[in-house]
Amino acid sequence: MSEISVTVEDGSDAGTVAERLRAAGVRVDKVLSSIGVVTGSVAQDRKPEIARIEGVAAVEEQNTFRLPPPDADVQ
Amino acid sequence: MSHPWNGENGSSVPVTPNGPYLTGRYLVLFADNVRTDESAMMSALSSAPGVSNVISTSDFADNALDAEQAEGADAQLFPNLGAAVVSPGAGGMASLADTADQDNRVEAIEPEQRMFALTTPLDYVRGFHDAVDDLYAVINGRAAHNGGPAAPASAPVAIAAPAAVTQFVDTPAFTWGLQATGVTTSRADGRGVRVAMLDTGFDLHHPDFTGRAIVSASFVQGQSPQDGQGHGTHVTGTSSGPAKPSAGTRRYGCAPLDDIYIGKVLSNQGSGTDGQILAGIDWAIANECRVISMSLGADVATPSALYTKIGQRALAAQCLIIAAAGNNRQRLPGSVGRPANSPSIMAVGAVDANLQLAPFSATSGTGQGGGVDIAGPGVAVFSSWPVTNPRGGGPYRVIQGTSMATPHVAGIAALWCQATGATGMALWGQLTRTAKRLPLPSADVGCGLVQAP
Repeated sequence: MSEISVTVEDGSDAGTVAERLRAAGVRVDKVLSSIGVVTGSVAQDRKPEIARIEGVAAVEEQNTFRLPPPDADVQ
Repeated sequence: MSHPWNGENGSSVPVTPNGPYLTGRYLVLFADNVRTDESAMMSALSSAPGVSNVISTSDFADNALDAEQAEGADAQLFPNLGAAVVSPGAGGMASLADTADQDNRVEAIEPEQRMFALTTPLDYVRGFHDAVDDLYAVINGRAAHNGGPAAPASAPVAIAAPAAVTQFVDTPAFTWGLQATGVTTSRADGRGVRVAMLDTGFDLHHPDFTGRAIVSASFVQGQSPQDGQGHGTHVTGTSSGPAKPSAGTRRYGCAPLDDIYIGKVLSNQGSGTDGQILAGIDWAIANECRVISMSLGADVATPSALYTKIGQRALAAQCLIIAAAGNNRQRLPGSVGRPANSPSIMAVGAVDANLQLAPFSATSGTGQGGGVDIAGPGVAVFSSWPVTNPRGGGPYRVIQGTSMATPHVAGIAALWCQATGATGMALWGQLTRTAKRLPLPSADVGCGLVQAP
């Protein structure tokens, strides 16, 4: 499974797109309607298929951001 | 916002204008409530002492002022501009200043200055020639334009070398960063503007924020908004710290009365996923925050289609996302990281107290949007720190990074939003138009050092 962020196309409803994603095997984590994004996880081999779903603008694998330790020289 | 001559300390108009670029006349700017009312502006001018002959450009065909008639007038009104040029009679300037102080029809008065055209290479040379002639005349006692005191012809001419650096230091009253950005003299305080800090949370028990309304939410599973790391408390202090810190120490916050929205998107261990950060952005927009400050990023040079789109949607929802350019100058990729490299997200670089580039501050990348947009104070930054912390408690700490520059820009954005009502792209424009240009590559500092209204 890989964690993904799905950008919903302008004009499409994030909730509707989330339903389509679920039907395609995505475990939906959050539907973020203010920014038109759905986050979740999906099996690695299904990602190309997800990108072709109606109302999906882009699929990106999630990154992790990491701060330096609090006592590091530069923050 | 500015009243150059009648600010908080009352009248301070220089009575005798001098210097090579001043004409001896004054520009009067009328307040917005009379600027479309020509007769009100005419009567305001006529009421100034020593001003009897007032002409208006509307008296002339096509508003084209006749130079000869203008010469004989005490004041020329430009009704379409809501401004006038006034020649005060002898000793008249001080009373004109008093009039401005008492007359709410007048917004500001400034000395008129001489301009030199610099539009083409030839004009540039001519303009330079004019300027040199003017200076020469002043230095040699032929101060033709303004009647200022003449220097003796034999006086040695000392040309001071420009200062190599501008030094700022933390004083008992203010951090160097607040001084360098003009926050110390700003009338704005951020009141009524919601600013979201997406970071490690905040020390909700910090004594400097007692009684302050703080809305908080955690997007980190199993952790409360309380900051168990320190980073979030430091950046929040810089953007929103109080005008008078409780311990009597120096002021360190840019917008002391803004509405603080704490979105914990980074864990107490200092990490967070896109999913958590996106949830925080969504929450901030749903809560009508006008500014989102994100002192976070990954050393990834390729811009993200996702964050580009989200930045655009935020701007459309009247919310400006401001993010740290990154501290990767001396490692790969060396340029603005993700998400600040998205064209719709404002990327912030860091300068030090001499207004020199911080050695760690990322430079611009080559892709569209990969540029550093603006710079903020990011070296030796004094701000709040969690009072109790497993790795050393506060209540204050001095640290550095583009993380520290970013909340300076965010807090100052709140000041501009309050002062002008601008949001989204208009707010972005205000920040970049008013930034102080620095003699450093724009690839490193963008438009320059952020400045308060």
